[in-house]
Amino acid sequence: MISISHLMKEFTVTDGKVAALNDLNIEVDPGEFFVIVGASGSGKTTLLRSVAGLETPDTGSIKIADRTVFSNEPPVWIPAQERGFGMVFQSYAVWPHLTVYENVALPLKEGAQKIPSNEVDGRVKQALEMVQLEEQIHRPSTLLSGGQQQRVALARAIAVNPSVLLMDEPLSNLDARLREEVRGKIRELAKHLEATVLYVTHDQIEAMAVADKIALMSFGKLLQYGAPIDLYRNSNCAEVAEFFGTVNWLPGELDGDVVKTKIGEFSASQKSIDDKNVWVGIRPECLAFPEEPYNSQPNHILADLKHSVFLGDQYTFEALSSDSVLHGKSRSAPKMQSDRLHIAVDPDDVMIFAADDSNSTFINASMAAN
Amino acid sequence: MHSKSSPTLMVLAALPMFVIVVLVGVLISISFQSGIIGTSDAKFTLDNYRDLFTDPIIGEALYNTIIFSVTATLVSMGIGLPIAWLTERTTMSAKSAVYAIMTLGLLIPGIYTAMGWTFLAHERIGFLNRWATQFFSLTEAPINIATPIGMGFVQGLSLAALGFILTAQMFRAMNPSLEEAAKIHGLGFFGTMRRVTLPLAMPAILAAVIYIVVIGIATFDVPAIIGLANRVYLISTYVFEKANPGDEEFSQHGITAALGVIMIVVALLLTWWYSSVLRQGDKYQVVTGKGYRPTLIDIGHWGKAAWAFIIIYIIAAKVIPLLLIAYAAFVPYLAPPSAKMFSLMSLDGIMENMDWDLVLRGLKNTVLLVLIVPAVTLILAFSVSWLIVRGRTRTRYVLEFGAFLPHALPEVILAVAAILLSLFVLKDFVPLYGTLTLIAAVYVITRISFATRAINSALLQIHKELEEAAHVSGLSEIRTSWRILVPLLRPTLMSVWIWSAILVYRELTVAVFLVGHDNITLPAVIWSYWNSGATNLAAAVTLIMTLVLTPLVLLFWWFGRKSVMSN
Repeated sequence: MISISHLMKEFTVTDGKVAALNDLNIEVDPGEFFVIVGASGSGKTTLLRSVAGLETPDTGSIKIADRTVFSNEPPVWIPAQERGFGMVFQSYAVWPHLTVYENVALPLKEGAQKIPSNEVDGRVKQALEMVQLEEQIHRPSTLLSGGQQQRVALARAIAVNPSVLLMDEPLSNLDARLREEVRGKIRELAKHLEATVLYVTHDQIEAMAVADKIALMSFGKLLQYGAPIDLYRNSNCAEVAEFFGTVNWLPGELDGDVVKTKIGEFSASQKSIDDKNVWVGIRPECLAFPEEPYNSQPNHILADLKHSVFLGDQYTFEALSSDSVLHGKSRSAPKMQSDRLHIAVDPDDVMIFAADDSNSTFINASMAAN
Repeated sequence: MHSKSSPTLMVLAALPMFVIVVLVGVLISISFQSGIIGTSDAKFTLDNYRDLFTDPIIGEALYNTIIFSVTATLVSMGIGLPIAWLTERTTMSAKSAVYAIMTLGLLIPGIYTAMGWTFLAHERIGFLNRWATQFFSLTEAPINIATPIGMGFVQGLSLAALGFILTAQMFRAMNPSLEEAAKIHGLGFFGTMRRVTLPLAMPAILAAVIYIVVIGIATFDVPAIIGLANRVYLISTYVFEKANPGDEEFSQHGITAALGVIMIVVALLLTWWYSSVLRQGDKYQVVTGKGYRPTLIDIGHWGKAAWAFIIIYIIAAKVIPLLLIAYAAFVPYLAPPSAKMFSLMSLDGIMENMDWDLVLRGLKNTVLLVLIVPAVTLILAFSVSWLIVRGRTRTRYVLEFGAFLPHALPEVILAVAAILLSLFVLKDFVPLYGTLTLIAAVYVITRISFATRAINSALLQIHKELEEAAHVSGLSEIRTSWRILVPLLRPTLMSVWIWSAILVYRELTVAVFLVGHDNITLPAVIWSYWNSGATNLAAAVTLIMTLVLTPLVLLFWWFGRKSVMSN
């Protein structure tokens, strides 16, 4: 449905040029809820705005359902108003001088689509019903709460029956409780409309909650894209692994099937690396407390408990093993065996990354920051 | 936005820039020509500059201009600054009335004050002088308004409202906790004033002073009304004399061009100084956070004295001049008001001598200008603003400077450049000389800086995504402007429109230089009667002009209040 290839864009800044989009290739299938995630400055918003037609890339091409909307060779440029998308903006961009009804109706009446005027009324009402705003229909939009304005923006975007729905951090201005509620409704609505959605957020939880597929961007580059569980469990690099949650990093050496580290040996059920120097990554929730005593098998660690904190739904703890600090999370309190902590890790939960320049630089910086 | 959009906007924005560049270019080029200028026979020399500097009158005009500007600045700041402080920082009562009075003061043209004070304090006919010589049996008139100091005083009265507006904003933005800190640490009222309030206010005061000095140097209408008939020249009126000498002499366009170039350089330097002082002031920009509430200084019964001061100012600057103009229109000859003079008042003088054709022509032209100029100004300024605020290319810096330039260029010089352009460049190919179009074009140029600045700041308040939402929804550029931006900018556009309309309506600088038989404006009719000594006819036309001006002012008022409320 959306086909992005070799997309490049540079911005001129005070000390040179910065690549906002660096040779990006993405395929989004029809009906897919596709989330672009990344830290600020990663280029995710530039990518979305390029698809929308609000930003012109330097090179590459963007196709929507086989219609090229941008390409540098041969030069093609379809302006935003002729692309026929719906978009929800970070600020909602609800027009303050118009009522709720007028906000939704304006694109229908005066947009490029030219909806017959006898259909406009029905389309507006239908869209507002979908976001449960039919009771506010004739209110001035400035009198609405933040959550209601967000729904007006959503209604306006879906009313035009867009081939593609674009959303730029649509939840970032809502308070935390509302955010969780609304994100579920947005996904529900998109699936109901069978719309293809391109959704930008900086929040990895939000991304995983709504996405069919996630693309993670960093400094203009696409690091990895795929289903949320793939990115979480089968990250292709250390940066992807850590973006979606904390990781305990241990340097080690590959020796046959096991990795030797300072705190013991580890083996992973999946391993596609032949490098000698590697990084072992273990997420905090993967540290378990087995019943049996410690026996120096691979994936078993003996550690000292530094401290643990009860947070209601979970305990968090820090353990020290041969100068390495391990951060852990567990449902039950850390279980001591004669004053020490016996920790075991499932081979499925052991991630191994090559200790190449990019991974090592990233991990060292991340460990220095903690 | 992307670079491929808005060719229409680009053209609209480039148009005024192009005209400005051409005007300045023509001025510079002609300033170096002698002989038959504007043709291939012209010689390129420095003669004009040499003639200018050796002209005996120029030294005197320069000296007069300095005395005039200094006096005008002292008087306007001496009145405006205390009223601003009283209004913003003390417990004086009825403050919105002060704002109302001062805004009204800003709208009443300086020529009214100038005419009124001529009736009051002219050496020969001034009523004050007549009374004084009578009562104290003097042989010589004690006051002479037709001096640089006298004219500076009148100009100062007229600019006091501006001094007030410029400094009131500063007092409002100043953080009162800095003054409170001084008080708590033992400084008294005067100590706080001297060591904290005034030093903090200094950059803003200095900026206001420079702003008013720039106006003082370039101003034409007041010195022309009072000084020209008495052959007291300032630089601006000297330019007029060189461009419009008596019948037996030739216009010295080369010299006016040379003087124009020098004035542009001086004006640019002063404006550069002004903006660097303003930036200096921003460093002190003692930020006013939320919930900020100025503590007002209790002046108790002094509030009455403060109000007396304001009332005396408004009577001297506006009320008496207006009353005297009305009086002068109906008396057969000018003499101090008395029972006898009142019994002689009639419409006869006006009816017999007024050239109604001329007045109607002036009224028609002025109405046309008021209808056309503000509208064109708004469209062009909107295009420039949009490209400055929303544009990403480097052209926006060019536009920013270009839109700011006319603000720094004295109107007298723009008028001279327009004459030179029409006489020596466009000539007969595009016969613009003596047309309303030429006047309209120069008016648009002179108004565009203010309009652009006002729209810039309004546009900055409008989130870019409101426009982008419209584009993505399928609305074209033009529709987006019309359906989203124009409604949201309406309060600003309205007040800029009316403000421009009022300034165009009363304009008497560019008009004096550019009018001829066909394109005369109403203020220029006043000017020509006044200059030919028909003071009663000049006063009568002024009254007619006021009748039309009043509804415009009320309209400004109404929209001003509405836009304040909607903010």
